[in-house]
Amino acid sequence: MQPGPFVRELIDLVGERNVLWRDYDLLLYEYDGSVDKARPQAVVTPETTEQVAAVMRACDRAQVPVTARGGGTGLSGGALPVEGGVLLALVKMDRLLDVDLDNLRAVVEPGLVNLQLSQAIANHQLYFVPDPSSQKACTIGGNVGENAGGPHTLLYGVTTNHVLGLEVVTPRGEVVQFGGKALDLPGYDLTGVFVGSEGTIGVATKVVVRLVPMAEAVRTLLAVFATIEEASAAVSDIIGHGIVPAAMEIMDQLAIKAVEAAYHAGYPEDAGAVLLVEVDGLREGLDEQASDIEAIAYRQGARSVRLAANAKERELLWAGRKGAFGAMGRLSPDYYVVDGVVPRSTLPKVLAEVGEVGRRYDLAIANVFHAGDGNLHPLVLFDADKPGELERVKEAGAELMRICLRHGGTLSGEHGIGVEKRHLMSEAFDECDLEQMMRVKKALDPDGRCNPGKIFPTPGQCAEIIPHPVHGLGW
Amino acid sequence: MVQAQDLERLAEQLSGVAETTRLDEATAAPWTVRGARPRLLCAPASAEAATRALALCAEAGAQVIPWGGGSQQRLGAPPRGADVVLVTRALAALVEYEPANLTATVQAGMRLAELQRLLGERGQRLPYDPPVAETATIGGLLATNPSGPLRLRVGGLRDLVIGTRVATPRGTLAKAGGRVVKNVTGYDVNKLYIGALGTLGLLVEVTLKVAPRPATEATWLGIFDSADAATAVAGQVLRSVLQPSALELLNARAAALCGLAVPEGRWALLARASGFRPAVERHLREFSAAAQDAERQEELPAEQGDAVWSAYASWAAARRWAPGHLTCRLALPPATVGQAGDRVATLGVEPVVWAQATGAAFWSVADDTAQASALSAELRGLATTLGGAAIVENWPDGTPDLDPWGPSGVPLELMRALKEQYDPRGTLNLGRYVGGI
Repeated sequence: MQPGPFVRELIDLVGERNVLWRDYDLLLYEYDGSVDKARPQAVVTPETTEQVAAVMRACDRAQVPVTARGGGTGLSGGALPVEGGVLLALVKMDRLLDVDLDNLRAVVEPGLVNLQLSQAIANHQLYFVPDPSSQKACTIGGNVGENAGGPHTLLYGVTTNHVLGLEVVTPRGEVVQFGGKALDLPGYDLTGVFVGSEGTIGVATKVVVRLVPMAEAVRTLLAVFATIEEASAAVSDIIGHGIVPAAMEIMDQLAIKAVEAAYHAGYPEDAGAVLLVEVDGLREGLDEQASDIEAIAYRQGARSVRLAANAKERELLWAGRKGAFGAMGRLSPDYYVVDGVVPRSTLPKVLAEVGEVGRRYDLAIANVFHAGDGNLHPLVLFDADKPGELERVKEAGAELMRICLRHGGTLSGEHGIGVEKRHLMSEAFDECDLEQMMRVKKALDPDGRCNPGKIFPTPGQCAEIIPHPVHGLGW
Repeated sequence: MVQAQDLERLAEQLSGVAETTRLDEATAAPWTVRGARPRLLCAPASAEAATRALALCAEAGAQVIPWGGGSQQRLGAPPRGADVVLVTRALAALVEYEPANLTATVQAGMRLAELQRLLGERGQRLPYDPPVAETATIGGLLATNPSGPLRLRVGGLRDLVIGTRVATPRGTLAKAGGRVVKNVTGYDVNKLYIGALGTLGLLVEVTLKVAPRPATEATWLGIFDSADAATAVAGQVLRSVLQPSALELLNARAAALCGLAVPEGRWALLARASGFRPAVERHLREFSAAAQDAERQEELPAEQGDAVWSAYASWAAARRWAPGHLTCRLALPPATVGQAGDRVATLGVEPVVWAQATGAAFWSVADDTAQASALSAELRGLATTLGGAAIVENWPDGTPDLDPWGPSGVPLELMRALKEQYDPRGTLNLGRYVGGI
């Protein structure tokens, strides 16, 4: 089998070792963390900004779509090349270019793994705040694309709050700078617009991030409740009392069961829900905050409240939470993660309705979520081998989204829209809102070269995604 | 610019949707922006009316100046024209406030001071304290994007705004974001409007993250012989486990305006700690330990501390926009603030210099020497050398050859493409923004 002319052009630009084009190589890149699949015609693994720019220019000339991919852990299909073309896998651009301790900034390449950044600066007692559950595998570039969050972003913010500048390769292959180490430089905040744009307006090749000193001390509490409604009422009550913890996470009974089977984190299996609360900062005042939280939890009906006695206990409590998605494998062959967000004061009502959907569709739904910011993650358990089951699960997922919308919430808190939810966008926004949003795309990627088929609804979209071969190129 | 007869027709159309006043030379004076004198004043009382009014202006080819409290209208280059001032004073309602959700939605014409009063009734606040006049509105603040001392701890408007509704020149009312604190549902269009000087749409509604008021606050003052020495201490604090709510650097003249006696040539580092009392006390001890080399240092008594911060906000607001003044804002990498401070302290005639540890440094002189162009060019050169930029916020009328913005932080061709998409006829604040947009 010989490469076609376009693949040969790509090979000329970035070298043989950076282009995959044989079917069995491409198979590895046809999926990400979502439930859909789409195969590219070629995968390019550039090593420099110049190579990214050269590939973009070649794709622009040949009118080939380009989809950027980081760790491939995204849950909404953001890295799926749904219209085929070139998949730009940025994993080889993984250098930490500059650690600027004076300004508390770092400049990184997009393929650097999230946790590796924090580990690399840990000896300076600094870290990068966004900590998605996939942080051992997801990349900073992917975090930028999806505006990733994580449990610890309640108090300290999500990716957009921690990215101050970018080097971007435009869809036409020009290298441009947005922002930098200083705040509020003159001009539109394109850094802010780029973060969360799911790779649809360009490819980030450098990211200027904010570094944050680690807290001196931390207190982690586990409050056990009979019902998830009580646990969520406690969340509202804590915030209502002027305490904004670093993290507030809830897991329901089904999630507890899975986590206990996998990690033995010490969550009581007969509980209706557990609430994990973490406060951090200076040692002074932390115990008072912890006891205030304890008192509130008891007032809201907690059966018990436990304070992690040491780092090991704390890690165990968190291992349960961070591994909760993976632990679902103990209960079910497949699970579908739903990401929705509601005003936190509506949580008890919304969760009751989530349970109702599970009963109606006869699907088990486990809840593991960032309660502090109203960010739900219902996990719908199913068996993909049962014919028609995935479709039913997706329908249930759409219903869960509609519940969020009805309660003043929206479609995604941190996973993005991707392919998964684009058909729901017109329920979250009216035509005028969407048009206003689409003007960003028209201005910055007028030919629709970058990651086509994402975010925006397409009329008559079918449930199954079939990659469109890009004709007439001779791949 | 619209011809007289067309303007008359526009005036009649606007009167049908909102309170509209014809302005003559005398009545236009307060609404005149750097020589551009508008002829109509329109004050819509609903988001829909604002949308309709803006669309009518755009159809007529009129030039529109969006107007909140008018306190920062000197910012930016002179407008290319001014037919209609679209003022948001009748759009000043609190739309929704849920203390338990820590969010508030307000109409764009609400004054920041009024919002703070309303939130204060429930023990909360918008953690945002820019140096602006009492009349400054939320919409105007989003358009101009100033920051105050709290930027250090909780970020700026880009970190606090979670939703907007905007009237577009195409006659649509477009929502972005929402009322939730975490959101990746399509592009974060909110970010486009912040600091865009109203060039992409007329803000009519804004949703913000609010916060509990801190239980305790305390203020600490250190006096240093150079800005660099003071900044080194600030940097040490910022890299530590401490979480001060403000760290401000003031030259002797700026300190005097706050009611602090600082010898000429010296610099004051003003720090604030907020939160639970034991943590606040620890901050004060650590500030003191970090400032071993200070000439003098002290914890200010509570009332004096509060008075200093409140004086600071009000004189800085007045100073930024005082007629006949040259005021520049340097956007710098944070650690270079001290270096910049020492360099600019001697430029011009007795400048007032104040800076935030986040990297925003302000430099202001009363300028009757026609030196504004040369001085601002010098400041811009310095800021560029340090890896930042200089924005000339205010300058004496009649100064020749002055580019208030300087080089853009993002490519101009992309900005122009966005302007073309959002305001194709150049209806909104044309010519005032970066690159003449």
